[in-house]
Formats: sequence, C-alpha cells, structure tokens
Amino acid sequence: MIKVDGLAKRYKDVPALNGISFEVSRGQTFGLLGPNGAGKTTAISILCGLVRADGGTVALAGQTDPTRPEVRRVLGLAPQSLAIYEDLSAQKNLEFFARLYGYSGKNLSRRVDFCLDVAQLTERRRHRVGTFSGGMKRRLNLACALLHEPDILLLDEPTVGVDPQSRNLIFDTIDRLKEGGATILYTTHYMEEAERLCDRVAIVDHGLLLDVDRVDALIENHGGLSHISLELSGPVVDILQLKKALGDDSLTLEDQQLRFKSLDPMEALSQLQGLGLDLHKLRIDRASLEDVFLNLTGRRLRDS
Amino acid sequence: MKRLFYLARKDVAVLLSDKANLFWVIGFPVVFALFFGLVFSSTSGGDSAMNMKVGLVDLDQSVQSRRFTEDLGAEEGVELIAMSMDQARDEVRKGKVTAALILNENFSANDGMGFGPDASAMQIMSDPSCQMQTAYLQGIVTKTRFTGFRDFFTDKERADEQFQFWRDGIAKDASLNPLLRATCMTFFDSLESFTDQLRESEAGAEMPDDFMTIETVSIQVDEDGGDFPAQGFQVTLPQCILWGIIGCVATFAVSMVREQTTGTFARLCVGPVEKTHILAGKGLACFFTSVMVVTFLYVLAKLLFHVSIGNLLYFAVAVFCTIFCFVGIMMFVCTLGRTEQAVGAAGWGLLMIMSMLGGGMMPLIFMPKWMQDAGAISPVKWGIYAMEGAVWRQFSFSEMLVPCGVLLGIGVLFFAVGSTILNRRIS
Ligand SMILES: Nc1ncnc2c1ncn2[C@@H]1O[C@H](COP(=O)(O)OP(=O)(O)OP(=O)(O)O)[C@@H](O)[C@H]1O
Ligand SMILES: [Mg+2]
Repeated sequence: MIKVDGLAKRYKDVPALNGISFEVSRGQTFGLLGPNGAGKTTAISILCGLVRADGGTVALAGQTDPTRPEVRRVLGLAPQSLAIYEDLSAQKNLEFFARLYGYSGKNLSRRVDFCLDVAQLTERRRHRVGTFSGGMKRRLNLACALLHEPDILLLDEPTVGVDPQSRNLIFDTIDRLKEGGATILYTTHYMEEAERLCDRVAIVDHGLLLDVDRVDALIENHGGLSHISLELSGPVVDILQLKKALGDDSLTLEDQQLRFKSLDPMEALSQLQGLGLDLHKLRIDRASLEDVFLNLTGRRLRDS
Repeated sequence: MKRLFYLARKDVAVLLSDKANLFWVIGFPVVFALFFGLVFSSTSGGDSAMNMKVGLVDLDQSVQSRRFTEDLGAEEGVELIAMSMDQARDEVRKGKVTAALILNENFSANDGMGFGPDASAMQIMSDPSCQMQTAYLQGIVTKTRFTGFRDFFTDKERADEQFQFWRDGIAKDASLNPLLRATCMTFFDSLESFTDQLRESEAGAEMPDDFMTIETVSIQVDEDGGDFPAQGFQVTLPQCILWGIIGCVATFAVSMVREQTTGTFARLCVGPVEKTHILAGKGLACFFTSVMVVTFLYVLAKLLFHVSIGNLLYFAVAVFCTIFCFVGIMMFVCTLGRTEQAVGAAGWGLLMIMSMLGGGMMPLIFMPKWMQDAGAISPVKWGIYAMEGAVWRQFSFSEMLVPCGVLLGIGVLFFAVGSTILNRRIS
C-alpha cells in the first residue's frame, strides 16, 4: 500500500532524510519512531506530496505521484500542526472539509456526525474550536482526516501534547480504524504508543532508518537482556553454581533475593526450577523499545 | 468551481468571526469618513456648511457700509459679529472667528459700493490655515457687492440714497470748480432719470435677473466648479471605501499566511484542492468581502449623510476596478513575510504608504502640486480618482477609462507577481 525507497531530503545544510526505505502492506499499522528532528514529518510530507524529495521514490496505492486525484481520494492526513480553523466551530470545520471532498446533503451530515462522534465532540459541535482544549483540538484534527473514509491514513504525532483521557480516546479510534482495515502510518516519539498500536515499527534517527521489524522482533534483536528478580524460599544454592547455570556473572544474591539478566527469561526460570529451587515473588522486566533505541543509538529516546 | 466557492465562503466566515477584523474592514473606514467628512463639509461650504463666524469691523460707519453689512449678514452661512479692530485681530488669532472683514474709513468715499480703485477700502483678515474659508468669504463678499450694484438699478429708495450721497459729496467738495460741479450734477440728473426709466421699463424688470444669473454662475464656480465637490461627504466617501478595501486586503493577506503556518494549508493541498484554487479562493473571498463592505459603506453614506452619487453605474465600475486592483495587491502583500506578524506589519506599512501618497489620508486637492504628481504611482490615488469621477467630478466615459484601466493594470501586475512568488513558495 505504501512503499518508500531511498528517500532523501536536505533543507539547505540540514539533512532531514538520508535515504530511508520501508514498505507497509494493506491493513497494517506502521510506526515511525524517532526523537525530535529525526525526519518523521519530512517523510510524511513527501509521502503526501507536500514536499518534493531530493532523491528516492514513493508509491501510494500503486501510484508514484501522490498529488494525483486517485491517490488524494484514498489518502487522509492528520498533520502534526493542527489543521483546523480556530475561528469556526467543530461542525463548520468538518462540514467545510467534507464539502471539499464532494459530500453534500444527507451524506454530508452522516459523515460529519460520525466524525464528531469519533472525536467525542458531539456536545460541543457548535463551539468555536479556539475555545477547545489541546486534547479536543487533536481529536478534531484526527477526525477531519477520517471524513472521506480514506484507505491510507498518515497520522503525524496525533497524540502530541494531549491529556491521558484524550490519548486513550485516540487509541480507541485507531483500534477501530485498524479493525476497519485501514492502512496507517503512525509517527511518534512515544515508544509505548508504537508498542501498543503498531504492527511494525521503524526506528529513525537523524534521517536514517536504523531497523524496521515487528516490535517483539526488534526487542529480541536489539533490546538486550531482561532483568529478573525473585525471592527464593528454602535452602540457598551455591552462588557460583547459579552463575554458571544462568550464564550471568553479574548475578547477585542477598537475603534470599536473586537478581540476574537473561536474554530468555522463560528459559532461565525453567533452569532454576531444574536446580530444585523454590521460587517466590517473581518479577521480570523485559527489554523495551527504549532499550532498542538505546542499543541502536547509544542515546535514550527521551533525552534526545 | 463549487470548491472555489466553498473556499471563499469559509474565508469570509473566518473573517467575520473575528471582531478585530470587523473593526478594520468596517469600523475604521466609517470612523475615518465621519471625521474627515465633518471637517470637509465645514470647509468646502457645501449644503451642510456650518455658519461661518466673521468679525466685522466697520470703520466707515456710513449708510453704504451699514447697507453692505446688512446685505452680507443676510447671506446664508455667514454670521457677522461687530467688533473693534483690536478685538478682531485677537479673535482671529485665537480662532474664535474664522476671519474678520474690515470696512475702512474710505469704504463709502471710495465708491460706495465697493468697486473703487482703492483695494484697501475693504480687507479680510484671516488665519492662514483657513484659506478655504477665506476664499468662500471672498466669494460671498463679491456676491454681496454685485447684489448691491443690481439694487442700485432696481431699488428706487436705494438709488435715491446713493444719488443723494454723490450729490452731497460734490456739493461739499470745495476744490471742485463750479463748471465741473454743474456738469457732474447734470450727469447725475440724467443718470437718475435713466435708471428711473429703466426700472419702469420691461427691460429694467428683467435686467436684475440677468445680473443674478451671471452672479449665481460665478458663485457656483467658486463652490463646485470641478475642483470642489458640493458635499463634504462626497470627498470622504471614496476615501472611506478605500480604507474599507485596504482593511480587507490586510486581513486577508494575514489569513493567507495563517493558512500556511497552521496545518490547514497542508490539509487542503492533500485534499482534492489545487494550490491555485486555494489562492483563487482567497482572492475571491477578499473580493466578495470588499464588495460587501463597500455596499455597507455606500448604504450608510446614503442613509445617514444623503451623499449623492453623480453616476451610479460609473461608480459601480470604479468600485469594481478598485477592488480588483487591491485583490491583486493582497496576493502580493501576503508574500512580504512568512509569519502573520511579518505580513501584518509589512502589509499595513505598504498600504499606508500607498494611501499617504495617493490621498487616502488627506485628499490630494489639499496637497502641494508635486505630491499630487507623486501620488500617480499609488493605486490609492487611481481608486479615489475613479470613484470621485463618478461621485462628483462628472467624468465622461472616456475620462473614466484612464483610472479604471490603470487600476486593472496594477491589479493584474501585482496578482501575477504575488501568485508567482506564492506558487514557488508552496511547491
Ligand atoms: N521547512 C524546513 N526548513 C528547514 N529545515 C527543516 C524544515 N522542516 C524540517 N527541517 C529540518 O529537518 C529535520 C527533520 O525535521 P522533521 O520535522 O521531519 O522532524 P520530526 O521527526 O518530525 O521531528 P518532531 O518530532 O519534532 O516533529 C530537522 O532538523 C528540521 O530542523
Ligand atoms: Mg514532526
């Protein structure tokens, strides 16, 4: 559905994209995860034809020119900067954009009502958008992208600066869209969102695509070791024997508290059971996308 | 085409939802027009002219001076206040009276009717800043002199009085030799019987009217002989309309930039709208808003101030051309910066300069010649000129062509430059 190959873009002396490639198949939710300035918005802008790339190609629904009417019909964009008129009401905003897409009469009000419901703004439909909270504006910004029932959705940080309640609402909306079979390109710098929503995630930094895969595969490949801590009951075994069995030299044992790291926590636990230990109060901290990013770039996602 | 309409309608709705915008497109022009309209209606001495207070210093204190004062005082628009010379000087200086009229001691002796060779017989003392009023006063004084002259032929009592005065003067003058004195007396006798006959004849009855006709024409030339509109609000209507249009241009230029800086432009471009549509939609919205504002101002002028428009069709054409021109300028103005603040400031700056040069602030007729010439580079001048042509300059069709053509030309030029820059910027 979406195919990006060797995309490159420079703004004067700032390289925004350094040749990134990825592919999103129909019905998939694809995450672009990266810190500020990674080039996420630039990639989206090129994809929808707002910015011309210096190099590389894009293909949307089989078309290489995203400005073609056939592509526009199936393409929905929720830009990072709010794309709604603050001086108009929520309903007027939706009606205006719906009219541009050729809706009128019953169809128009059906779509507008649907989108107001999605954004949970039905009660405030007649209020000026300027009076809305940040979360409400974001919800409307997303709803405007859904008006014409597009097959491909480009969502550029749709949850930036919103309260947890609005965020959950937006997550629910995206879940519904996924069920409806939409192909979604989702950019974010929140790894939790990428983990929660995306089937596949691309890690981008400084205009480079570091890796792209399913979330669990990324963690497996780059996440490193899981942290395991457990309380032992019963007699304590020799610590050297434990280190040898679990293959972790940094293992510690203090007052029945055992702490160690492992690539495969489940395998480690069965080994412990094989040693005849009684396990009690177990806690496993699995590696996350945060660790993936840390291992790939040497920086933490939040710090960069 | 439908989309263009939706785009334009949305822009108008956005504009109207903001009270500050409403002030710039309607409030400000009306306040402006009211202010200057009142100023000009008191200076140009039109229908709604206020009473001009004029100090009167009668140093002659003769029958003639009193009669002249009486006639002048009967004129509309002039209120005479008798005062001493010092008082007059003081009150003119303080602006309590607009001017002072001084009838010197030689007023009656000079000619009795103000036609003598001695210019000092009558003087007008005025504030240099009130040249307009002074000119108006001169006009009225001239008219009064002619009226007095006409009355000499038509009013027996008046003629008798004058003859008596001349005869007394001849009789009293000891330096005159008897022969000359007798000749003068005979001349006066025959002149008197001639005027008596004239008065009784048909010709005499008509003659005063002829005098009046000439007189009326000459005064009218003073008042609205092409250089001056009859009503103050006729001067300010074109200016007021221009300010309304300028307000629209500035607000739409800013809204164009706002569209680009917020995400809405991206959303429109990704939707089924061409970039040129978005530009054209803005232009159309600016055009329609300007038309609405001008219509509103026109109705206001008509209802509240009874401004009469010489040629309504030409007026509509002039307004159309002016708005067209300024929509083009709007396209250019919104390229002057990349933020709302930058475009707002640069736009108002440019429009102010155009307005200042083109007589949008002070009518060009009040400006020095070189500035009037320099104003030709400003579209404001041509806009006002075209509208004035329709309102009170009584332009013919071919005279209208020049300013309207210039306006359309400037509009196309700015439109081309502006939309080229914009197109380059957004792609
Ligand atoms: N119009 C522009 N002119 C100049 N430089 C730009 C422009 N747009 C983006 N850049 C630069 O390109 C780089 C990538 O920007 P981009 O907006 O794509 O990042 P992003 O991943 O979307 O970041 P964020 O999470 O902050 O939205 C940045 O260094 C940015 O400064
Ligand atoms: Mg971004």
